[in-house]
Amino acid sequence: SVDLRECVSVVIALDYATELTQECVQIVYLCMVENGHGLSVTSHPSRVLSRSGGNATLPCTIHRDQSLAPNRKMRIKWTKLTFDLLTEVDVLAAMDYHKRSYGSYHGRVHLCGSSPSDASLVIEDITLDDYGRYKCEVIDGLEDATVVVSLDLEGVVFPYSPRLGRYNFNFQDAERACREQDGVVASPQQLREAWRGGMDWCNAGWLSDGSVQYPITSPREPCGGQNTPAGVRTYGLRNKNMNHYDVFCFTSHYNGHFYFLPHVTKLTYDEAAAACRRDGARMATVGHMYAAWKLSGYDRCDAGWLADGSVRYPVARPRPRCSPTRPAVGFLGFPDKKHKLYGVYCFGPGR
Amino acid sequence: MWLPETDPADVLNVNIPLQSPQRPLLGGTLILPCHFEVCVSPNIAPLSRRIKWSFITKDKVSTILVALEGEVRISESYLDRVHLVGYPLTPTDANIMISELRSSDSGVYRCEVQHGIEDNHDDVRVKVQGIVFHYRPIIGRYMMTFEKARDACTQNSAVMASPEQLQAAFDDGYHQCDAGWLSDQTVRYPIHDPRVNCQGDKENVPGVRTYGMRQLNETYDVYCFAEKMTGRVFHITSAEKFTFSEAELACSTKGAILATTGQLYLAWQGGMDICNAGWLGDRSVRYPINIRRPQCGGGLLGVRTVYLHTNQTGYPLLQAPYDAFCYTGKYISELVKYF
Repeated sequence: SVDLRECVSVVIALDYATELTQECVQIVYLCMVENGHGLSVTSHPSRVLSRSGGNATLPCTIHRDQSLAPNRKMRIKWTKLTFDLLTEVDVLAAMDYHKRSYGSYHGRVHLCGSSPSDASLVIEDITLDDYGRYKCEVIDGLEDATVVVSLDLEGVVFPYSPRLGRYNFNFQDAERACREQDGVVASPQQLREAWRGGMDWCNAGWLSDGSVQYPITSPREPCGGQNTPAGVRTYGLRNKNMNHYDVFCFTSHYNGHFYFLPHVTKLTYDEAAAACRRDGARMATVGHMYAAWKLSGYDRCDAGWLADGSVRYPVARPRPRCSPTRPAVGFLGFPDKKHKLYGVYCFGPGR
Repeated sequence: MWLPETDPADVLNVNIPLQSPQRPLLGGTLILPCHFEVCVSPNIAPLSRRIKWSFITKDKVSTILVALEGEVRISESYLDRVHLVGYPLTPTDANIMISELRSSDSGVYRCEVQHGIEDNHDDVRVKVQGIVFHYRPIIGRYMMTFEKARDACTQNSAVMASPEQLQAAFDDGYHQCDAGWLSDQTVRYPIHDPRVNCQGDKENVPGVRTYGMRQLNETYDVYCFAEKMTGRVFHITSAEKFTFSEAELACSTKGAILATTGQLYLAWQGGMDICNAGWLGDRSVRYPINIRRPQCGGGLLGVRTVYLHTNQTGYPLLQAPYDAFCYTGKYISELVKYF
């Protein structure tokens, strides 16, 4: 007889006979006094960087104690975590020769499988929605173990507000607005990263966890106070239906060609749209311009129409009369679409 | 070898047939049923499904137990108080019973069933209800017979705590160095740090000490149990503060009455945090602290009590200036109108 209180965990094993009756059930207490578990999984590195359109391998290595019975079927499952601890999105499950991928991951994911202890996940053709934290779970009989890996994407964060002006989006509007600019709502981590890179924006915007924040690198009175330290200011989690703010979107590399349409500089909005079409392209979105500016160093001091009716210009090399002090995407608002004042930025198939 | 991939159909259904949240009482027992059905060929061994229960809070997910092939592994922290009700005699019975419920058992419970590549789960939210508190009347320490102790709890929106409830409060970290009546006519007190100079303490082990069954006319303090908040407790103040009778008046002008000690404990449990002491209906003066800070109750959490004497007896004088804690419920606001 053992004192069960000394056990790290107790296995109550039942001797099982073919016919189940009370009499033939014999309870055996197996005391597992050894510390720790016979199974663990690790991930090195625990953060992986990729880009939209690219591939990534999320590492997950299985470590199995000798004391575990051999040749048990292990089940590997990958899920994507969300901001709600109770909700995970299924990505892939595998056991033996059975494999299954789920939803938008179907056909884009497989296990690396370089050895029996390798549970690493390969994701191909990465989209902006793939950004986030993934859980590798391995089940081996009564044992199970998990590890979390982050998939980070190269990209750019940009603020967005609509023609109506500042603070007009509830959370659903914000999601739609980013989607229309070829982006997704940025995460708090992505905004923090952008702030480290020098982003300064004095209008509060939605982030993907439902919080509302804004990044300040040069503290000043209307933006949380002059004598406060620089940082990402936060309003905390806000009501997704009732509260209205701007939004911070995130976009990454795109598959296509972004360009200022040559030879035309004085167009109305409708003429601009037609001009892009004649060129075998469409009007570019705000996301296209930010991605080209930040990720490819696109530089052009000409204001041009974009698909949402705004007029902007991307300056990668600061110079007088464009953006004198810092690289920036200039913004001339949402002018009357009938004004024959601006050129146009188009987006077409890759050249 | 690659078999063709198919999109999953819901071949494994897992269901906890309960409304969320469940509201069991502190110290009580909770049965969480979990049903599952597998739509595969019936000749699969019934015990080949892996059952896992876990407990999820804001900060973390912890395993309660795992069952497979007739074996059950219970995590250490649940060893004495959780078991599968019908498993493995009924291999599809994943119901669990949790006893000695503590406040810290409040959270989300997940029943997860895995069979081969398939898995599914269901969740239920549990909010363990009620709070145990120590009560000492204005007349001093160890002054209440069993009957007086029962009345004191009743007058403070509570009942006498049971030994199970005091034990659960102890398991949540409750510590009080004063012997008090419990509902079964025993006298006990919960001790975590036996080195503290507590009367009658002879051992070196933490635990709930008991004096055993006592005569009804012996006198002690009491441990009360308040179950749930029915109305709302709020704090009021003024520049000059209130005497006790001013505090009574100030509440009634707000359509309320002075809160009871039990109501203030429930409000504290609901998150109330006020760093100013206020009058309560029994003439005691207390304040609820949820955020640790040195200037409010010496950095300690809980409902802090202002005693008249340094040996923690007596209530402040009626003319002493304090804030007030008022209570209003539907019934109260109707009643106050007629004063």
